[in-house]
Amino acid sequence: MQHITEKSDVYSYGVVLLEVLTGKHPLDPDLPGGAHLVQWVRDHLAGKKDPREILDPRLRGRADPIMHEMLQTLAVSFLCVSNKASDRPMMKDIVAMLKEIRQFDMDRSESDMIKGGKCEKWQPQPLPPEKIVSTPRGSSNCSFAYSDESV
Amino acid sequence: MDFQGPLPATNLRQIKSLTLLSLTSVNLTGSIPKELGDLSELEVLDLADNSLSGEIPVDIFKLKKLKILSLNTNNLEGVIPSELGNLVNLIELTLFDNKLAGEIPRTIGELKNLEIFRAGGNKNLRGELPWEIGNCESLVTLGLAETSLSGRLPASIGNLKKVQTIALYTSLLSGPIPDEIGNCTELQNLYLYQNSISGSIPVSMGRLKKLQSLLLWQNNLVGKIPTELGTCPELFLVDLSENLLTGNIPRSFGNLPNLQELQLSVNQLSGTIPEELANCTKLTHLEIDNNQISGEIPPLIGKLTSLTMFFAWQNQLTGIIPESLSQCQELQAIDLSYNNLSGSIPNGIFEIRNLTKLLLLSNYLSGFIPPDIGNCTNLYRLRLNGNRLAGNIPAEIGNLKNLNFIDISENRLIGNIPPEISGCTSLEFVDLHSNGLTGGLPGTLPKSLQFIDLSDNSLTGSLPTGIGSLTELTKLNLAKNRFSGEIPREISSCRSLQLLNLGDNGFTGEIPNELGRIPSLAISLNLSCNHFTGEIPSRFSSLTNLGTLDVSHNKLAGNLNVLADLQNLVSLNISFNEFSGELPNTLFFRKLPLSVLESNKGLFISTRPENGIQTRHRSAVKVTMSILVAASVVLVLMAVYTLVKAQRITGKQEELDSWEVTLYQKLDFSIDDIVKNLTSANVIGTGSSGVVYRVTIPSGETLAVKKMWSKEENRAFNSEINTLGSIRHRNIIRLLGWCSNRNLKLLFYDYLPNGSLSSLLHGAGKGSGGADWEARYDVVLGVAHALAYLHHDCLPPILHGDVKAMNVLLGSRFESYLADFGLAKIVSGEGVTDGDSSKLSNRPPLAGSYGYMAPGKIQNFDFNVINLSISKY
Repeated sequence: MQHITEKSDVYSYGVVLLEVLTGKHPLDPDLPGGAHLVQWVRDHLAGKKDPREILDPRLRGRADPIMHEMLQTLAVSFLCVSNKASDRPMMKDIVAMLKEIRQFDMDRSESDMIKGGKCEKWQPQPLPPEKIVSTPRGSSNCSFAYSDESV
Repeated sequence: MDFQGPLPATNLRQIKSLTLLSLTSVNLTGSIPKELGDLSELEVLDLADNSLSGEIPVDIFKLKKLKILSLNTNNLEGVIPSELGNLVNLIELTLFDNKLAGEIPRTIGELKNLEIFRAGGNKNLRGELPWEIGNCESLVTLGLAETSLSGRLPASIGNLKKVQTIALYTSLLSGPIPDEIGNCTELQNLYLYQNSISGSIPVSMGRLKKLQSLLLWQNNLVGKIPTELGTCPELFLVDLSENLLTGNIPRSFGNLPNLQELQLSVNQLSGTIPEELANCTKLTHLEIDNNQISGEIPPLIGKLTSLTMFFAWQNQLTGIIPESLSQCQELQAIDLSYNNLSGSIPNGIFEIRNLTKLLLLSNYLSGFIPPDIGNCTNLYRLRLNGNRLAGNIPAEIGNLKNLNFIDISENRLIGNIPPEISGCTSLEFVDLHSNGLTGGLPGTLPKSLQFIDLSDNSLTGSLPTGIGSLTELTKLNLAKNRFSGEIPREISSCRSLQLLNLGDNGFTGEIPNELGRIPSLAISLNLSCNHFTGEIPSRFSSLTNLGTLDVSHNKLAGNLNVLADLQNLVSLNISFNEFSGELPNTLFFRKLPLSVLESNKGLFISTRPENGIQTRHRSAVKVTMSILVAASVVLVLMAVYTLVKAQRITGKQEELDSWEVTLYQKLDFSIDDIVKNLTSANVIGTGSSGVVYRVTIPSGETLAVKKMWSKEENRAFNSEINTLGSIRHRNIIRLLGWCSNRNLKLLFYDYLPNGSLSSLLHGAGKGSGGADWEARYDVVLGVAHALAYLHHDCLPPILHGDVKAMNVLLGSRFESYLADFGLAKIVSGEGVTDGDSSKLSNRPPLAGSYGYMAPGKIQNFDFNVINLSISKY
């Protein structure tokens, strides 16, 4: 039986993040090929295209530090929508990551901002490559945990 | 090499005699030029691992001499053309990890020399695996995993006499595995997990003498595990978990000398653990949890000296845990919880140096916890709760520097809590409730502690001042002990404390003013049934987040004015004290049941006429309280409960209908004020389970009122009440109360004026002010806080189940509020249940909103047991 878990909330939260970043509804009929928002973003990034292009047009054109904040948030959203539930972070970690994004920004030296210096530290994480087909990810033991795992 | 661009089409014609063109991983972009089709001598075309896009040009399939065609790991789209059948010399065809769509062409059967066919990782590849695949008689590797292939595996697969690997996992296959699979005598790896395959595992698989890995988990397989699998001597990995298999674990598995992992979790297997498994001395993983396996754990298990994981929880095992298990020195995790095991825990278990997790909860284990536990220095998680363990907690437990979580609650432990526990420097969670522990609380406790429950023991002495060093502590429950003395003022250093229960002890003196200095104290403060004297400290007016306060059965005096402004107070009990003066004249206090006020001789109440809810007319009759009440005290946990009789007129007929009303907040209105405003003009939205109205009550306050779609919407209604009614968070919508009668069910919330995140993002005519990045960041951070609170701070955890932009509402300053808990679930001891905790749901467990739901099968791997029921608070 399928069940809702914390990680399904995390996935849905990731979709909300993507919706906020792209300004698109997850089932936006204008997405190419009728794709789901998650797939569209995934394809875009897999195609090594500029991640800025998928940001909501209303959000573009901001100063570099702010743009980086958005791209860092995009990286977080990507973790949330991992296909494998066990790859998705826990909500408390997501809070920590999001806070750090803003924190980091505030810690930046003033001169950096003025120079518009690029910060390469927090590039969106590269997508995990698709599983190679004849090497399966193996058995289910990764998904089976203990009698009390969630406490 | 890094080409960073498209293949130059025009130059290609000049190299017509080319036989090999290999351009892997060189960052090629653009489409594959159709001119490649003119290189008629080409035998090898390898363009793998680039960023090529567009369709595969049909011209490629003119290259009759082609032996190897590798286009995998690109962004290729479109279908696999049926012209594929022209490439009769093809040996290797790899198309995996692209975006190819459509069906696999039947002409694939023309490729008699094809040895490797891999087209997995193309999510839109659909249809059935064509029957003609059986004609590819040279095939060694067939890889079509992570596609949308559906239907059944064709019986013709049995013609693949050379096939070694069939990888078709994580697709949409259904129907049974054909018996003919037994003819694939070269087969080594069969990966069919995460499909919807039905039927039973074919007996004919016993003929697969070279089979090594058999991964069939997460399907709908029924019937018995065929004994014949024991005749496949090369098997080293068998995972049949999450199916509907019945019958015994075959004894014949003992004939598999190479078996390393045997995973049969979550089936309906019965019978005993066969002794013969002890012959599988290479076994590292034995996972047979969540079945109906009975009998004893065979002592011969000690022969499995390579074993690292032994999971047999949630079965019907009886007898003892064999001493021989300690011979399995490689063990890292043992989980035998939820069985009927008896006897003592073998001392030797704690000599296993690699053991990190030992979970034996809910059995009938007896005897002592041996001092040997101190040798088990890698132990991280220890749960022995719900057994019959006796004796002391050994002092040696202090050697466990890695111990993070210890739960030995509900046993028969006696003696002191050893002071050595301060050596457990990683300890975050300690639960020893419901034992017979005596003596005092150690003066020093690990500073890492977040949760302490020592309730229901016989602990004595005073609360040490060292308690103040526990700055991470969120919950401290010392209720039902014999503690005495004053509460040390240092407790105000516990900056994270959300719940403090000191009830039912012998504490004396005044309640320290410093308790009011803990702003995190939001869930509950229970000081009842002690000998506290003096007044409620003035500083308590700062506890504005507090939901429950119980100071009943003390010797407290003075008036209650300090409590008048505690906005979040949901439950209050001040009975059996010596309070005096006038009860604060607020709706919250006026509606308190008399049982929580009784036996306070000097307390006066100002009352209003019976229909006071509807009129503003006030009289100042003062009634002495002490005459009023019977002796029993009802501890109301969540709600102030009132029954209002209201007259409702339906049609010509006047009928008396009884309303049940619960308010968590001070609100001054009549049901009629609400009902008459439930008109279409006031509709502000629709939720998953009802219509939402904006209603302004006579006091001028505006509420959001949700009317459930039908009176049958019990589940969603109860879910909202059971989840929202018991929690408080600044980013979660406040449920103000609810009411229901036979025909109507209404929920009252704070009205939030700025719509939802969805309307902010997609709505027309909204100012861009709210849509800038900073505002959006604050909104999503708020939602993350809300979900983190539900998942990690609520015990048991609450799952929202329908997180989406429409359910994120925006307040007047665009602060975010998570709303709509109609699909929320509380994780309870029996697994995940609906917020409607009265019964397990028959509803499909996955019900969120399409577009936001996680893909594929979601495994319930997280929550099987949580023994911390909410009633503990």
